[in-house]
Amino acid sequence: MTKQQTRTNVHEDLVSSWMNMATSFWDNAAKVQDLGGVPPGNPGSKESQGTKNNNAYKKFETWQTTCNNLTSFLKLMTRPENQESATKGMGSLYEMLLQMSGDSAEHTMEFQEQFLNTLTAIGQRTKAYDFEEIDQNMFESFRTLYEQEFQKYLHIPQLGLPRFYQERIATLMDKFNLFHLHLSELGYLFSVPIEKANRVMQDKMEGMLDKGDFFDDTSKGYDEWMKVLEGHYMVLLKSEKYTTVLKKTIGSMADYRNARDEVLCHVLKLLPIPTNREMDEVYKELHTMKKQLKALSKEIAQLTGK
Amino acid sequence: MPTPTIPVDLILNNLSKQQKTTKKRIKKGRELLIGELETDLATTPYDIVYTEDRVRLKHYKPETSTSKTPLLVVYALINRETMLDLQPERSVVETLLEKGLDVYMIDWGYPTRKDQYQTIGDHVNGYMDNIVDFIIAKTGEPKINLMGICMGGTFSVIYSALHPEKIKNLVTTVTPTNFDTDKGLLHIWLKNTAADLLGNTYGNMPGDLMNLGFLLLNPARLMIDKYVGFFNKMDDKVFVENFIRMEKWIFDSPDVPAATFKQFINDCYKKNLLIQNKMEIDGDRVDLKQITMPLLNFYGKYDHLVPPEACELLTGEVGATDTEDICFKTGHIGIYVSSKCQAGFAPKIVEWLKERE
Repeated sequence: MTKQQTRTNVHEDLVSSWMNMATSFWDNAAKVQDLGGVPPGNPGSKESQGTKNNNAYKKFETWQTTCNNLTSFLKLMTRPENQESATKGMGSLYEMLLQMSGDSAEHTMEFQEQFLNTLTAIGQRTKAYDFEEIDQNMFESFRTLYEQEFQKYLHIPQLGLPRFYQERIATLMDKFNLFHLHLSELGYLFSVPIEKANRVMQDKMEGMLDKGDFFDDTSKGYDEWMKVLEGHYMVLLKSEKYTTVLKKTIGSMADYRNARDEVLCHVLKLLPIPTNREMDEVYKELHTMKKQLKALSKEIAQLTGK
Repeated sequence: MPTPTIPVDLILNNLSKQQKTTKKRIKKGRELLIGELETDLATTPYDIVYTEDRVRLKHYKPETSTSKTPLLVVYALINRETMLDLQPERSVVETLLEKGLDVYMIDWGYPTRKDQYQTIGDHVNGYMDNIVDFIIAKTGEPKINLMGICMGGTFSVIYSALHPEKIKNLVTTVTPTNFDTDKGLLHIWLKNTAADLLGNTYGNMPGDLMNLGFLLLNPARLMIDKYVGFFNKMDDKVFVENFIRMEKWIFDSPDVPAATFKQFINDCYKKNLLIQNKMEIDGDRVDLKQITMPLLNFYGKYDHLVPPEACELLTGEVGATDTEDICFKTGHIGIYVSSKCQAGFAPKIVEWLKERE
């Protein structure tokens, strides 16, 4: 017997025993009438007590029919001629799940690797006043992971009556996530000068100690640290990297606010409250009318010489 | 070679002394902060003589008037005009009154969402022009003196170019007119700012968001060192009062109407149209050559918001021949509030205006 055949037999045995178990469960469920239920028309039956019990019996009857149908279907599936196709189906499902989890695992591993690299780099020395070598790949990896693995689920086309509501909520979640990804990156950039300034100060103090010297006043040490920190911030804030991240953060913040307002507008529509959009239209009309009115009043004043 | 020795005893002795003084300072500071403090702003008396929508006109009357021509002060839409009257004895308004000037000052108020469609034109050709007409009618003088501060200075330059017949003398202080410079961080950032996106998203540009932007121009000094400085002097009543006054003023930031914000960023910071005589307001081109009245232009050498490069080209581009540039060795706010500049700023304006009465 080959390995492939053994694996197929194992699958078939598993499927077969599961189906038998499921069939017996639904069989038992259908027989619940005999165990606890009271068949209609029997002596002592409460049928005669009124329509209330008739309704209960109708509900039970529906349940019984469903159980019977399911039992028949499962019995059909356990026949030897149908077992092969059932096993194949289960196999494809297994393969599909494996592939899906494989893709996700690959991206997660990639992100984790990047994250570990960053953690390793934390203790390493970085050049003072240099922001070109900042390790931002972690944020890029995380963003890629989000965009490739999670974002697509928020973009699944929605169906049915509530689809517009679902779409808006999904967009809001997506924009919220993107905004926070950019904000984290900006926050990280902001923390780098502090790390670098501390490193410079450590070096400075080490040099002073070697010479038998040290700050005799804490304020002198603070002033020195502040000067170094300010210098680092000035270099960072002028860098293209910072400007780019800032621009992206502001852009994603605006997108998030728009998505949030969109959801709020629809909530407000359910209440007797005008939305911002509706009020903005009124404000625009008011602004135009006021402007025209003021211009006309001026003209009249000039014409009448007042 | 002998091993260097560290004066550990000296260091420990100093640390111990510092600890004692810090303890004393905190105790006194705590008593000060829970006690009575004089932190009111803008205490010089004034009358509200004109109102239009959210805009008000303040009138400060001198005890003895020495000048016929009234002075209209136009502040920026960012922060408030109370900066000119921040504290007694360091108040520009107080000095101008002492020297006998009749002072009017625009209070732009707090724009709300309904003001989001107001453009620069609505401010310059609308509110400002109506106010100038009102002052002219009230005083009977054919022209007034105009003084602009920061963005209010840019508005004053635009107004003087569009309505030169109503302006006798123009004074600009820390006024950006040339935006094609990378000297200030603000210029670099605003060139990269999606003004339309922000304006459309927020309705009006939130004052707090702009303030955050200003803090981020120098986070080490403005977000850390400033408060460490406060902690180090928290037992000094005068210092604490002045510090709180400044905090009150700096974080009192009205929102900027979206249409004005977008126009200012796009036409000025991104396209630099004003200094090139290409800017249009309500369909009219702003030609700086129309500014033929005398012009006095102040700016700060260490101004990180409006660097000298943004201010100093103006006098060379206007049509006036009577122009003067004055550069103080201070920052954006220092011109108005530092004790060093108090003697050289407001008295100079009064003297310069009187010479051209």
